[in-house]
Amino acid sequence: MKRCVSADSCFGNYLEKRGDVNTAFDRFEDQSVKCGYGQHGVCCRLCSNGPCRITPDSPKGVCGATADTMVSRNFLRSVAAGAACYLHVAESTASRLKSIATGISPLPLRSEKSVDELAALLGIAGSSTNEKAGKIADAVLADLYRPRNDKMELVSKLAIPARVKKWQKSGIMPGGAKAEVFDAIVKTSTNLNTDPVNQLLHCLNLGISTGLYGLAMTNLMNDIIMGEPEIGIASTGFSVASPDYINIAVSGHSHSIFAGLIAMLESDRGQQIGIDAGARGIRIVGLTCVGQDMQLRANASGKNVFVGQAGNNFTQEALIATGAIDMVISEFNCTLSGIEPIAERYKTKLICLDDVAKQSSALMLNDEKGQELKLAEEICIMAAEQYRLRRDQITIDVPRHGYNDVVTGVSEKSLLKLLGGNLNPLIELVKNGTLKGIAGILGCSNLAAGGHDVNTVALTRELISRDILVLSAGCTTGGLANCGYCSLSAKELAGPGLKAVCEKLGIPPVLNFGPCLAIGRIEIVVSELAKALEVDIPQLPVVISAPQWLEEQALADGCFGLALGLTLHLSQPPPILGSPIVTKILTEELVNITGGKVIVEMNPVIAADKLQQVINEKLAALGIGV
Amino acid sequence: MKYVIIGGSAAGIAAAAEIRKQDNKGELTIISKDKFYYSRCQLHMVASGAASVDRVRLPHAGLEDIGIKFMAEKTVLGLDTAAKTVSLDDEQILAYDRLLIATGTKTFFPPLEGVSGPWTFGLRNLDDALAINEARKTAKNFTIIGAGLVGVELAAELVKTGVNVNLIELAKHPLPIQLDQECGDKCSKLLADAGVKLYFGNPAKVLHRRPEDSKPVALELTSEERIDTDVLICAAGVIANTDFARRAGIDARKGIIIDDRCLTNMPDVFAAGDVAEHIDTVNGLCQLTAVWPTAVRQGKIAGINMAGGTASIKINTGMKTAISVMGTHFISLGQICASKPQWCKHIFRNTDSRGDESIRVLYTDGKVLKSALLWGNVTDAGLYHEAIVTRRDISGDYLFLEGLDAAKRGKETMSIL
Amino acid sequence: MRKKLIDKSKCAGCKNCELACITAHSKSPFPFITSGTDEIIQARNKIELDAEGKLFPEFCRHCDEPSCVEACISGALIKGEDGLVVCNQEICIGCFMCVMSCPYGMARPGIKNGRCMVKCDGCHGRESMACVDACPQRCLSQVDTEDELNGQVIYV
Repeated sequence: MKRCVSADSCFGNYLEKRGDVNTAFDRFEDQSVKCGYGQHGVCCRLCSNGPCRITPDSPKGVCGATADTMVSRNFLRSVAAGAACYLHVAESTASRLKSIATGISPLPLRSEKSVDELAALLGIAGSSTNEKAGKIADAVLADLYRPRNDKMELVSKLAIPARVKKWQKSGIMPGGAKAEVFDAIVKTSTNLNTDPVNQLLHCLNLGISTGLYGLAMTNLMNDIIMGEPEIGIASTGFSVASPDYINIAVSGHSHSIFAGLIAMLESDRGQQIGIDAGARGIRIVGLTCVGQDMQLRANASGKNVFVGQAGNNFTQEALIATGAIDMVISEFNCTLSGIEPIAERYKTKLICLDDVAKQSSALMLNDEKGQELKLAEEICIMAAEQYRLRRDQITIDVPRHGYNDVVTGVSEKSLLKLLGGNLNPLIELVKNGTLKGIAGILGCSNLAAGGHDVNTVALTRELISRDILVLSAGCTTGGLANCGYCSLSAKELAGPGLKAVCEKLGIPPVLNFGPCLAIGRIEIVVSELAKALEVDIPQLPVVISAPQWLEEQALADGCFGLALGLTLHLSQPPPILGSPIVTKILTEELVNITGGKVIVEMNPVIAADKLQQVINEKLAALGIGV
Repeated sequence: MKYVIIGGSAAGIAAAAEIRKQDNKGELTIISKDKFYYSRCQLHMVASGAASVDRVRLPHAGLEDIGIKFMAEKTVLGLDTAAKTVSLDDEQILAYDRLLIATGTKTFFPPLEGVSGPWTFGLRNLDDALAINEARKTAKNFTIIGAGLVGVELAAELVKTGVNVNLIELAKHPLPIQLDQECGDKCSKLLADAGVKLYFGNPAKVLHRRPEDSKPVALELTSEERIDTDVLICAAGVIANTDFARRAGIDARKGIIIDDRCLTNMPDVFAAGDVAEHIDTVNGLCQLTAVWPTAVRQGKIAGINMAGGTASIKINTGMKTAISVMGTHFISLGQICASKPQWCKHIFRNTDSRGDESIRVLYTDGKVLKSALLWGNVTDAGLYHEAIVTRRDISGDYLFLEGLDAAKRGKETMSIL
Repeated sequence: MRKKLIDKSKCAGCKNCELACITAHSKSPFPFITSGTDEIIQARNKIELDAEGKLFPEFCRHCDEPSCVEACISGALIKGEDGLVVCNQEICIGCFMCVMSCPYGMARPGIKNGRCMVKCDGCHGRESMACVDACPQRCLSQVDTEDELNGQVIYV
């Protein structure tokens, strides 16, 4: 009967009011008792002699596997699954890019500049924009499909040389990304690899392909297709959904899957479908990361049809229960199963565009290359039909929720533009002590770390009050934006140094990089800082935290951070605490291999203390006075 | 030692069993106007034919085997506390050393024109239930006055059998003592959806009867609306069976006043159960506490004291009810109807994964939980009950209100007697 | 006398005891946890969290003076000679007076069929207690003792 709390009080109040809807916030309490074996990673379900669990009385599985083997095997399987998810997004984005570049898909490449820059970075030549774009896609796909013993070629072009050297030395340079995932599954199957160290190194290897391909390359290719992010002011929260329009909520991670829909809605034909149905038009409401991506690139695509980001993953059930959403399109993860009964009650049409995200009550539509606009038109017609069918049968109750002064569109490129072309002004602020460091608050939202966005908000508030600039990407920033931290007025919560910077640059103390894919952008910023300072990444006064990590993808992201040599804070430990070896490696010994390190701390104030201490040590080592 | 217990229901039987535990030699007699021991709380099931008489008959806990004499279908007419005897309707006179009066209550028939006559019943005894069940064979229109516990449960059961059921209540919603307005309205909806016709805030004025056989025809309400009525059932309250006790000089108000050992003002005369009045733990007032569990508790305590032991009433309340209407359960604890303005009201609404909605209405005085109403999911009711009757300080324990598990109080065992 | 010893500090929250309880009380060879027949598929015990968030295996205490039995209007709940408080589900009418009265919250409404309460029967009639057998942490154990006092369930 208890309901999980949210840091977003306005949203929390809405949940209180909507006791008639069952959401994750209710179910979280039903699931409050956790199985200790699962939590510690010491349950193995790999064979019919099991499931085996490690207890003081039974310290080994039937096969003889120790807690260390079970934990590392389970962990590698999770990281492999997480890597596979992001690589799936990279793969589908590259195929879309290829299809547009070769003229199969009737869609524009919205940023030629991005094509040229990326081609230059990757050393790709071509006589036309389209040829270069096609070759970029080919290069990505070729790397993804390489066999495992064939190293991927773009790695050394995307990462700084010091890192590449370190990775080569540690033996974690990835071969073909999909083959690496494939063999991680092999490795962790019944009676195969039992070596925790080997398995953890494989995790780092998967982290590299996740970060460079799944995150960074997906962003760069989406910049080509959908346009580059530009810093601007936008609205977030449930209030973005206006009952006057047909509202299509989008959920997932692949911005360019919506290239057709956005183009259709930008056209008169698309809007006319909505107007004919009696609405003022058709609008896209952002939900989960793909909404963040749309917000990021709203100036370049869908400026007038994307109304804003409603909220992060755990707000979606309540959003549908407002009745304002006529259709939800899912193309990738973070769409909760819990929306299905609510969608049924509110007659909200559920559509899936990729069978990896097929929900049992959703209609699966075939997203065929070349047919994007036709599909988009079909979707618009369906949404209009749904609007006609449902609007007089349901009550719409959209609470006043969110902020309309959220600064969005921050990317590695737009940030440079803001700073005047290079990172030196930022470095100067750190050197002269105005800023005490930089922290990435990244990843998901969950309900387990104090409540929805509770630890994320608390840790962020601590850090900015200590003059540490926060860069955020993923559901963290979705939550922070809805709690006001990405608005200019949030400068009041910052320490005096950071506040002055906010005022001077016209930025909030938390920079909103958008989706979790943009963790890749933050890591480019970090790499650029290292280049500018002529040091390696572990030496930078930069820390990252995934205070409310949720899922396997987050674990793969985390492995990228560790491969980069960053200190990574987590509120809750991943399921590794059953293994002394794995725990020791990740929290202590890894620092000698890649420079990375995991800090586990639930209390956000103590976490901020620990992170600040790490930053201070790094500043001192760089000879910057503390 | 001669023990005489007047009344063979919850309190009387509990007392007898307890006396036998303490004293296995004494002569023990139960005088009961009933044929046997049965569950009074299930009479609505018998009235609707949903339960057979056998189904509601309760085990005597082997009374005969342990030497308890059960005198069935006897009524006590007089009590002589000086001579220590009771006289029965068959002119028998029984002597006692210790007496327990556990005579329960009878139906209160409102002072309504036309109320006395055939096909007008209460629902207090098995005979009432059987009479209503018998009437179902020919009657079609059943009108119930009083939407309290008995009225609502009977209406809900009767309507399932296909007869027309009308429910008349002075207040604005059913179960006015147990429910607040919102849950009351929900309860109205459950009843109305099932086909019960509700007449609230509209008291009955006169029962019209046919001149030829005096059977009811229609009940006229204050609004002058006439409701077709073949059978009238009065469920608008009860009267404690105190007649012979009062005549014998035993202190009684609405019920017989007992102390915390269940002793009346007369030596060796105890009283327990629905007939007794004692301080209610929840509101501190001396009042009838007419619910089954409290009757059993009082019976046990009386039994222990009668047999020479010592036990006292620590927790005593009649303000608790568990109800089921058309499959929806709710439990009401404490004074929902008499909440004080200075109390703080907490409402929690949830829908579970199965889609079932639950409401919790809780009143605190800032320190102590005063009353609780659980609608839908009633699983935690016992925890709230415990908090209310023990007047445990829950200030600062907001989580408790939200629905905390027993374990969260950090208690592993507790004594209830 | 068979008693259940509960060392709550050893509980790992695996809910094996809950599952074992469901299985032991089901007539079906495959008692699906969430759906199936009219049968009440429900554990009689529950792992809960205490005020500090620590695991607390909540079991019926089989009280010496059971409030649930006192409150039972149908005669279904009886404290037997063996000290176990058992509900006869054939007799229970699901009035939930017991639910209202148990201070531990361990007299619970049946989920499937709202007209019956469910509670621990101490695996009365079984050779050993299903929950105890299934506990991998030895948080639950069974002791046989001459001691008639100190209850049926002992928390240590």
